[in-house]
Amino acid sequence: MFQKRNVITAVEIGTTKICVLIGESDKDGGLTVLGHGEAPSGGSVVKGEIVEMNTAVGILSKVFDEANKSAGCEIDRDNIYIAVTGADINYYQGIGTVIINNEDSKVSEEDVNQAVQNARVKPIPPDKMIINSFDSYYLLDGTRRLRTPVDQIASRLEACIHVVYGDRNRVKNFQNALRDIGFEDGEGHLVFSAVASAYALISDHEQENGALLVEMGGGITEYIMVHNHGPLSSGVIPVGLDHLANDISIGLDLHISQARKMIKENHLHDLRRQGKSFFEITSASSGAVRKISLNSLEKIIDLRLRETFTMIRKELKKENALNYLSCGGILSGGAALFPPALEIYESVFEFPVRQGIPEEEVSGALTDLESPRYSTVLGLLKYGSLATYNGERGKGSIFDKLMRGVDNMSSPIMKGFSSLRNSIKF
Amino acid sequence: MDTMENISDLASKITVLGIGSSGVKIAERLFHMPEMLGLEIIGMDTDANSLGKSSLANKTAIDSEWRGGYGCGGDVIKGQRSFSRERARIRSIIESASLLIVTGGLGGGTVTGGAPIIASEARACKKPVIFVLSIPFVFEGYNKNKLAEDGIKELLPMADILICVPNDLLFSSLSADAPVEEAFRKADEEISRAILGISELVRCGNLLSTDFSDLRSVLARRKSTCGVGVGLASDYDGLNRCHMALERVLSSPLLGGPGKIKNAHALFISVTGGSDLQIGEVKKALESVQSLARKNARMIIGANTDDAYNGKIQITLITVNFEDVASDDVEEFVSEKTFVQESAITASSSSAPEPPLSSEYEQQELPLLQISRGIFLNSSPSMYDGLDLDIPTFQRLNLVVDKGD
Repeated sequence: MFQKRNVITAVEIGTTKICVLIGESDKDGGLTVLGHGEAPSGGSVVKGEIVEMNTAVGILSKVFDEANKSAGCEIDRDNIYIAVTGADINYYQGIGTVIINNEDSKVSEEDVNQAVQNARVKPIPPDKMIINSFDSYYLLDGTRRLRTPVDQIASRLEACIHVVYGDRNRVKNFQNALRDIGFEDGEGHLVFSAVASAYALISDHEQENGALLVEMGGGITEYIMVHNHGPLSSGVIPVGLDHLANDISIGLDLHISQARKMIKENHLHDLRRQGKSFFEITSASSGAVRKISLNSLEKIIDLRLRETFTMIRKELKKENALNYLSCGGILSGGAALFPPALEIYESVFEFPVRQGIPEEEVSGALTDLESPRYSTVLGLLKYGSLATYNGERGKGSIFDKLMRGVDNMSSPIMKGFSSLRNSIKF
Repeated sequence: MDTMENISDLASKITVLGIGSSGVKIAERLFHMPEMLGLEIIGMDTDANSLGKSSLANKTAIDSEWRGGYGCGGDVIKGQRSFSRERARIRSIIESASLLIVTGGLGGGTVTGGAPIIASEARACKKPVIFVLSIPFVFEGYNKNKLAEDGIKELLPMADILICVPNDLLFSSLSADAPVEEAFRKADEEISRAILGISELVRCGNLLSTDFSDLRSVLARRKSTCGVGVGLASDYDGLNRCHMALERVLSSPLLGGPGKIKNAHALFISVTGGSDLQIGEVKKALESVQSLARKNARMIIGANTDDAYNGKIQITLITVNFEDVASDDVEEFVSEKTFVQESAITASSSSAPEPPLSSEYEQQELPLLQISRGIFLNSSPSMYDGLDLDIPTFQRLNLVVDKGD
């Protein structure tokens, strides 16, 4: 059979940057990054949402060209993955029950599929659409909590699934941007960006024992909590580093660009290390030098970040998920390069937190991608390669049939679903 | 082996830092107490003038180059700034101590502005700090109390342990014709006694031990008010010195009467004596306090001997009332209240119920800060739980930030 190249394209339209990666996956699941294009969003994206379609599309097409040039291969139109985010994204945990009537009381794959289907019947409002769905865990006879229930003996099987959904129109915007630069309608598979980052960052061990990934970007913060290879909680807090910059700019009467620079260059840390208690700012208008207490800066940062992490903690508490976090936390996105964020994250949750750096064995000439800023796009590639790999391998498998037959969701998401189901190694 | 020695060495050094004029006064009083041997006492104030009058051995006028030795005049920002400028000095004090007890009177500029900075510095050094702060008398005015209240709000998430003692509790045991000077002196003395008691509580107990983590587990990050009672009795008080000490605890002005023990959610009791401390005395002291307390109140008890207390016994009692009581505690409260009310009704059924104090005369708080959304002015608001997250957190919490000059 003709050996097809498996080219995957990952697109992230973020608040700070619009980024496209083109990668190739081989049969063993290894990834090679072939092309990379990136440009600042220039205000076209605010708080994770595209606010100026024309500008965004212009940048996106430029970035696509750039990536294409460096990759030097054709983009596979079936394998384009877009990260979606936005304050409208939410989730629900669906539970579906099936009574096992088999002669030997063994749970069969059909039973599992039936339970998953039952779990999914919860209707979502017509203006919402499902982005991704995963199975969280299975309960046998209401007591035994398992990851793979097949061939276990039980009389009742409950499937708990995690469904991420968002505003239909807002989510469609991301696909629209792609259509506007010449792709077909419906091309481009949607992946919630926290899910994508999870694929890039959460190690196998952490997946199993429970970890919380917080992805704090420029305009928005996403989080996902994974335990025993299934997500238990995920969501979005509409606060990002831009809010922090805004706070600093308002609180200390600085220009927003000065405030952004302060966060990016991490002034606080440097000044602290030098043992200083004040820093000097030259006012742009009058040229006068102003001395600002380091404490003021610290206070603003502490208050804002603590509030944000406390909100995430509250959300997890609702789901009773705090007890399942034995591997601690991971911080990714732009905030991972800002040490106070790590410290505050750690102190709010009282567990160890590590910086999320995608250290995948991603080969290729592009080595500068090993930064928390790229965890979402790299995760998208990873997700994409798993989805295509699984799709080909599992053609005709019971999972695949289920996905196609029952739901009208686009098939790759389903593949993604089944991939998580088989707990493919990250 | 080496590290063990280091640890025990560290555990013994407790530093008391009195800030602001009232803090210096408390420190001074503490300095003249015979039991302060284990403590290092430092006074710190922005007002060089009042500091000069103090007889403390170790005192510093902070930020004198900038402030010129004048006080803050009730300006929190000025206090904040002064302490920020003296970070290096504060850090060296914190680093040299194993435990720092900071004391002072909230409501003024120096303490209200400075305490959070000490807290943040201590957190950076990873050293424990206990704040023992007095809340001003209500008659000192709305402004001062508001300042104190805001100060607590700011300090609460930063401080390990915050013990707030309302000065108004003094009225519970002072008669109205007591001289003003005595009232203030009494307040200072009680707080300095309380500090002694806390340091005794924390110091490695050799009989029944309580330590810093006990205090922390009860008090950390919860809004609470505390009453502190300390009773000291010596052999000269007669044979039954334990009884005398207990009695003095209960009549201690900052405790607010035995009723406070009944209502407390948590209690710290420590008994300190010399080598002649008897087990019967410890037993009696602890039992009698427990008999006064609620059944489900959390008790942390400690007993200690110290040669400085030979012939004496000191009982320290800290009552803690949480402001955000968990639901099961509330139920307990309600049932108790109805019981009391019923008996009150039967006793005086004819008297009409007094109308509850309504807040209708209370003036609405004026918004001092302008709420601004900055760069997010033109975007749809990020609402979460009814809050507009685009507005800076410090503005939503109504906190003041020093913009510098």
